[in-house]
Amino acid sequence: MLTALTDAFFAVMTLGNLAAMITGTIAGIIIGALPGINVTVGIAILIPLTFGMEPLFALGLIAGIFNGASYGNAIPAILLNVPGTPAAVATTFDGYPMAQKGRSAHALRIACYASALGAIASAIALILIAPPLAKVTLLFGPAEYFWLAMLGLSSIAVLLGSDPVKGLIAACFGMLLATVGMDQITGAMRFHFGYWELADGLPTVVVLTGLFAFSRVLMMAQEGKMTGVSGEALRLSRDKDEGPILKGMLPTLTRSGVIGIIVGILPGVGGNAAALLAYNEEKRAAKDPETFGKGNPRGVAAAECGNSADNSSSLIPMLTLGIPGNAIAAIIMGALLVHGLVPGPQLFREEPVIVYGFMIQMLFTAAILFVLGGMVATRLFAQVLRLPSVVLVPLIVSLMTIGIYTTTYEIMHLYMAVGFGLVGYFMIKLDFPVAPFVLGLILGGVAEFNLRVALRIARGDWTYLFQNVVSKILVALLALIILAALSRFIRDLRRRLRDGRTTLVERETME
Amino acid sequence: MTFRSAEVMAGLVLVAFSVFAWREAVAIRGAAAFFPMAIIAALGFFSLVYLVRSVLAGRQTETVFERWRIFVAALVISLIYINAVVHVGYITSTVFFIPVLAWVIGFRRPAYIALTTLIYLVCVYFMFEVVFRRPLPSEMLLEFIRSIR
Repeated sequence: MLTALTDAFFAVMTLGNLAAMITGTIAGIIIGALPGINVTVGIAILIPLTFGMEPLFALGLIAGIFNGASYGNAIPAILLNVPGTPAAVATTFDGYPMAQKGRSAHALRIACYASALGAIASAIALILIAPPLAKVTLLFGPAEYFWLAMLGLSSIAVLLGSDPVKGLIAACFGMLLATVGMDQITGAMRFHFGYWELADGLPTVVVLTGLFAFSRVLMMAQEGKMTGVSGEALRLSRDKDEGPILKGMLPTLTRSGVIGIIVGILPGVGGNAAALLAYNEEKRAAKDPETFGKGNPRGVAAAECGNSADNSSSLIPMLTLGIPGNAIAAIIMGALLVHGLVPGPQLFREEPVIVYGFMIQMLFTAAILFVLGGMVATRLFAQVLRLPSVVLVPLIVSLMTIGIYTTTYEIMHLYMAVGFGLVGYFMIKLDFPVAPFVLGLILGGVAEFNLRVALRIARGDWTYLFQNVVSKILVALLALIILAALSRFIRDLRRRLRDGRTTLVERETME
Repeated sequence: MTFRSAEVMAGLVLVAFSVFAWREAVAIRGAAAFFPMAIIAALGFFSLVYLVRSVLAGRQTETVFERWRIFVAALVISLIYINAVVHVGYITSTVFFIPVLAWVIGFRRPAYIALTTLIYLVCVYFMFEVVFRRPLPSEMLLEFIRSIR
């Protein structure tokens, strides 16, 4: 492992790769701060553009965007009380009150340094945990992989959305689309409707770009925000001499970092849960809990550190097992696939320089945030909020078009991107979670292939799927998740029926 | 449109899609049909639950799809642009596309749009043609001028 890490370190330290990491981090902060778009959209637009680049150059950009956006989200959250993503909600609790008290610059610097430290801790966890875990997973057979894929799917479908039925529909829809094209075992063609271009299945990158980028464009066009934030609103207070930024915050950062890392490894939970859990834990442990929500700097540090500490750790299941735990991991998996890199234990053996190099890039881009936490950079990044979001609409469509078209020069892929953009748009409008769909698309193939291989090995004996200990544990976890989802569904249905009756009574009374 | 009506329509579309997909899956030969059929059955079941739930207890208070004309316009202009990029050329199409779409969705600041278009195109040209050497789609106008010469 040490040899691989050293080789990867020198591969990462080229001028081009360093430039990619710095550019990616700056772009990430801007993307995070921009109204209307988020890290998922940013990486989805970038992936087709990276086709033809050196893998480490492309991954350096992605690592930078991923880590940079974690801090970028904090800028509108602190200055305007507008969380760009759910992960930044907890930052508003104390960040905005600090800004109202004339301490906006101080709050932004705390957010930046806490984000950087959280992301560094997460990257170290990734470097330490992923390689040994990849070795263990080499022992997994097709039955374990099948259950792992099913577990990944069910937990995401249930945990991510507030509505399990919608999550399950989205996951099924994604899994069904994963079966389009030639069957890997028998060679039979499925759902190709005469288009032989679909023999290799739906192009993952095209689907993801359309789903995340084009749907967002349609939403932004419809929202029609014509003006950016005024320069007056973005005027940062002068940083008074408040001493070292993170003085006395070591326990806060340690607690939040550990929470973020653990939450990141769990599939489907995500940065918003990490930030909220870290914030609540900090408040619970504090001697002055009544000051939280009124501009306590430790509230900002806890939320930002927790939110960023889930970044690299959320990549652990994807890199070691090929099972992405959330939408961003799925998109980064798409980026790896574009470069012919199939995540899983084999990747550590076949392409150690790239996989370890990517982990080192996650660490470096987190450290770059420290440099960008200065006052000048903070003032500059805040100015991004002055951009009217509608201006981004044609630019994103144009970038998406040229990125996809110059990858394969197939117009059909552009139509597919638009089609999946529409699917994504309606899913967002009707509160369907998009992540289970994406994970279904990626994990559906893994689940089917391993199930059928397992059944072939066992000559059709289904009990083979339940024979070893790992499979039994995975099945038990799956059963628990399904039961939890069922109970939530029944509770939700009762509540809806009660509300529906109330509405009917109210209407009749009004009439 | 109320949220409930939109959900009922979505439920109907999902059930219809499941029936259509099932009919297609039946035509697949051998073991390759097994997994898709299982998934379609699950999709159909959950879609039916969703439809029934939406009919019985959908949210009537919220409305969805405001400013739908803007949505349709953005979609149509984007589709025209995609075709134009392939057949007319990237630079030519984009010179018209950015101002037209920005104008249609309501952004009426010509100087701002012109400057944005110019900076954007210079950046894209530099990145694609100079840095990454990925050829942009050929420009019909340039080809035409060359053919006259």
